[in-house]
Amino acid sequence: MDSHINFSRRSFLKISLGYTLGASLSMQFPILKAKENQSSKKPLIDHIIYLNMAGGMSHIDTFDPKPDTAVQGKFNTIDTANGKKISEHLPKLAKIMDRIALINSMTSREGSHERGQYLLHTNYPPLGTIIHPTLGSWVSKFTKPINEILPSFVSIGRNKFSSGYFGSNHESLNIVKPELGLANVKLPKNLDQKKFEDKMSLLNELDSDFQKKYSNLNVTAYNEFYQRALKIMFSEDVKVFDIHQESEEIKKNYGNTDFGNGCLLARRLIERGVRYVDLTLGGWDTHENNFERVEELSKTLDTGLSNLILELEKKNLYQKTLIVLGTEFGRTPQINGRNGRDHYPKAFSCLLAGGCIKGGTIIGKTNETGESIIENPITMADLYTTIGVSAGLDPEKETYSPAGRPFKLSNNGKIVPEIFKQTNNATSYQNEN
Amino acid sequence: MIFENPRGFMGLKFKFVILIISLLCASSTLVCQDKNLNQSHQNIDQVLLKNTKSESFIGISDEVFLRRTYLNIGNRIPTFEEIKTFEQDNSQTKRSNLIKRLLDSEDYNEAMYHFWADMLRLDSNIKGVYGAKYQKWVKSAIAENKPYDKIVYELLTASGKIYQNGAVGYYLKDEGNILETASTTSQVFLGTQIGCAQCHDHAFEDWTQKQFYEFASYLGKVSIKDENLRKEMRKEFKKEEDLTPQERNLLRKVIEATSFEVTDIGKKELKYPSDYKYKNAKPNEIVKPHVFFGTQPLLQNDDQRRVTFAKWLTSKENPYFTKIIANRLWKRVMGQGIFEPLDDFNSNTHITHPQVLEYLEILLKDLDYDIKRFLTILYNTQYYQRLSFSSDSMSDPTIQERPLQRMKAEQVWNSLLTLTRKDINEYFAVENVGKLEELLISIQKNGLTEENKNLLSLHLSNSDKEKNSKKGLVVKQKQKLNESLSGRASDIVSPAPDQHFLNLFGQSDRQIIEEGNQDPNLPQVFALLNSQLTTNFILKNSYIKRQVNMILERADKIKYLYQVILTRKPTEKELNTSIKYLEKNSKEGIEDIIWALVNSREFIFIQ
Repeated sequence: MDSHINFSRRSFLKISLGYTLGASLSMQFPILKAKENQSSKKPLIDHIIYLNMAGGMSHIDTFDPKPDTAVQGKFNTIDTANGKKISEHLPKLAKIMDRIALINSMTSREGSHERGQYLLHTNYPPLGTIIHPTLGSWVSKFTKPINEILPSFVSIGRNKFSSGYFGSNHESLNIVKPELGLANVKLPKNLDQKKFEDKMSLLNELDSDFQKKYSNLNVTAYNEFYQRALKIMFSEDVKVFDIHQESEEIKKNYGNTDFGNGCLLARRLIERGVRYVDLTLGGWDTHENNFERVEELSKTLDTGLSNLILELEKKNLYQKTLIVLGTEFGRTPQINGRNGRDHYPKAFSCLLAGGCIKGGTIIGKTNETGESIIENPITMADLYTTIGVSAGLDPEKETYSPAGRPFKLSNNGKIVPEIFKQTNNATSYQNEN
Repeated sequence: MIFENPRGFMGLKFKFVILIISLLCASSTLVCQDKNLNQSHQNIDQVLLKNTKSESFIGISDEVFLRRTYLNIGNRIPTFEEIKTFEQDNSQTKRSNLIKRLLDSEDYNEAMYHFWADMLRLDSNIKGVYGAKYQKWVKSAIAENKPYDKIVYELLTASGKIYQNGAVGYYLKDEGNILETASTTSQVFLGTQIGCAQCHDHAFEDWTQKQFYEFASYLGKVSIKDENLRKEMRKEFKKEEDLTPQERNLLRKVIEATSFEVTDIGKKELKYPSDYKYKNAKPNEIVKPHVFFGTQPLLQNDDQRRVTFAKWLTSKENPYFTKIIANRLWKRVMGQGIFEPLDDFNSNTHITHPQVLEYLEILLKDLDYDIKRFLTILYNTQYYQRLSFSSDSMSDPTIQERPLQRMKAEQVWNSLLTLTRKDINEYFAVENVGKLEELLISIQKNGLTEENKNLLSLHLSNSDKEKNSKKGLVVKQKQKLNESLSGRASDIVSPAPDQHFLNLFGQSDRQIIEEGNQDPNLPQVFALLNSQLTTNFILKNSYIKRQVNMILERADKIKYLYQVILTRKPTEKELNTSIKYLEKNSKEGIEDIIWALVNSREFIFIQ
């Protein structure tokens, strides 16, 4: 990729009146801005929930078991609604596999957590100085917000992925622990909105010299964040972050785990118009005690995700939502000396569910030991292109890093047409691309 | 010879000519001539000014210098007393004196700790309990100003159990995965990401997978577990019958932790992976150690691989070793590296000031990697003391203005703490970790005595309540929060507790090398506006609040607050605005002003 730098474009850009750090070039070149704002494609869904199984989810011990082989290990398998067996520890999902599209042929070249998670979140491998925007930031930038007050992009769990060169406006609002909600939004008891606004006036007056003097982007970004914070604090929407407004029963259905609570919060956020929610379930890095740990994680995942799907259906949100379950790599079919499995990017699994998805479909196949892909390998780029198209983004549209380097959402991936339900919209995408 | 009286007698041009000649001929003579290295900082300025039309850099006022330097060296803003001390120094060497005071202070040790912790991914949870020993080792090394090459050497060659030698944390961090350790070693100390070639030939650079394996094989005999001890302990463990399942689980972890010992095992070998696909070696073949640049070190004794490797890596002859640390320290002081990123030196890397970099390398070698003396030189340059950018346009490639940066998470936290109490050193976070560690050592030495079993149960009852303590760090949630309010950034567990200021303001989690950031986000803003720390600890119960209450005149109150929060005097306009506000809001006006100043952009940005 580095070798394909367009030198003439780069030098042209450098010679022209400086270049602004961190701002997109569309700010300087109106023609680019016009192109950027075009979202000519009709979206198939309005919301995305991305479930990040951090650590490398073992494919054999979840969605791609190899019963009766040496690599299967301790788990038994159970039947599912789509005909293919999965791990015995995912019984609730098994019942609704007819709503889910399963990809057993994901493949990648990134075998370290850092690089793998980076690729999972941005569709690019780490490239030194560039910080690529995460998928949620793409959605935030290229779709219109449904709710003007809430951020378009919320991330749940400890999460370090950034909006990169799209700037802090498309950064996710991070909720570290769903049961604690959004901290520090309540005013102290003796303070009302009017008084608070008086204090803000004082603040802005005293800080006016500094703000006038320094027009650096990192300063103005903070100015904007202060304004947004105030809008949220005094809105009705701020209640969306409090999962304790739901009944005990509902919380229990999700499993009362951090992940389960996160799924519940994701549902609430979608209800209120948030476009993209990223939720992390970590702990899949099972170099040791693989079976014990995967069993526990599977229970958490099984309860949370199945209930999320059912609730979204109940609330009539399912048709407009896409759920993606991804991980950075799979794990070795060979069990190591510590009763664990090690990193295995060559083959792994992921899931998709939601309104535009053809439920019950199984894409790709690994061989009898789960070590290699024998049918329809799908890369992260393919997955991104497919997701992008669902959301109404143009996966081939170029955006520019501060140094003038072009990047596309697709990163040369191809749409996976088998994912989609056969509707008119889906068909038209397949024909166009 | 040349540098005896630089200012009075010599023109700029003449100095340059001499300088260039010296650099071209025998660069080391430059440094040797300058026995006290008193002129080194001027030399750096000269070379930098060479490409510009100016005679000097546009400098900053004393007020700005004071705040910037306290933050840069000490990781916090200065107190009222410290401001007075600086103001009252009327000597020519006022600024130099401050630099020296700060470099000799505890605050410097705290600040440098984070420099290392970010590089080494030093968190509190290495294998459950022992992060503390590794942290202590690093803190001692900083406190005694151990030379950089020695620190690296000792980390690379560390052996033993962690409570014997904290430095073995370096190997425990990657849990014995020496490919990972080799990769991070190369990235952090050689600035070279050969780790990309772990799974296949590097995509863009010339490094091959074979070269990576050959490099890693210097660490190929490292083992992190004492297998015999583990077997023995398990045997003992099986004998105990009256343990609950929870006790058994914790004991299992105990055995795991105490059997960690970093040693070199003669029989152990690194082999090429079973799916190795290139023709230059065979799958499962034993890898022979080989470095991928520079002179091959002579491997006399195969058991001394790590020693040989460490000597090669930390040698003055190693073309990358010095360059990388010189640039890291330069960035720390100046705000930007001479090349960036700091740890990905490759064929596309652009070096903005090659002569300066060369000079820095010579300097550092001549100083035998004395970090404090090197930093002293950098801080005393005019370049360090130049004005900050006030916008983002860079039309001049020879950047004259310093980038305006937000405080790092640790600087924000420590600065806020400075406002809440008289002396930031007053309270330290309690180290619960120590007790469990003692218990483990005792179990290892004496077995499962009654006393040990009781202590074990005690820790178990704590860990039941604490859901987050999966790795055995036994601290209750509430306790954690209170502790975390009382300690400086380097005393707080890492990663910082959820929603702690350090976390919100972008401190590195220390799981990935140096991934701290200074980006804005909504939770930070909410925290500054409404958190307990702000509304309670800073506004109501703080040291500065008590101090300002003792001041009688309104104008003097305002002046005091501007000093302690923004390190400067208020302008006429600001004074008037504030006094008017106080007249309208006599009850909580002072608190509101403190709140406004702490929430200002000026507070969190470093001019």
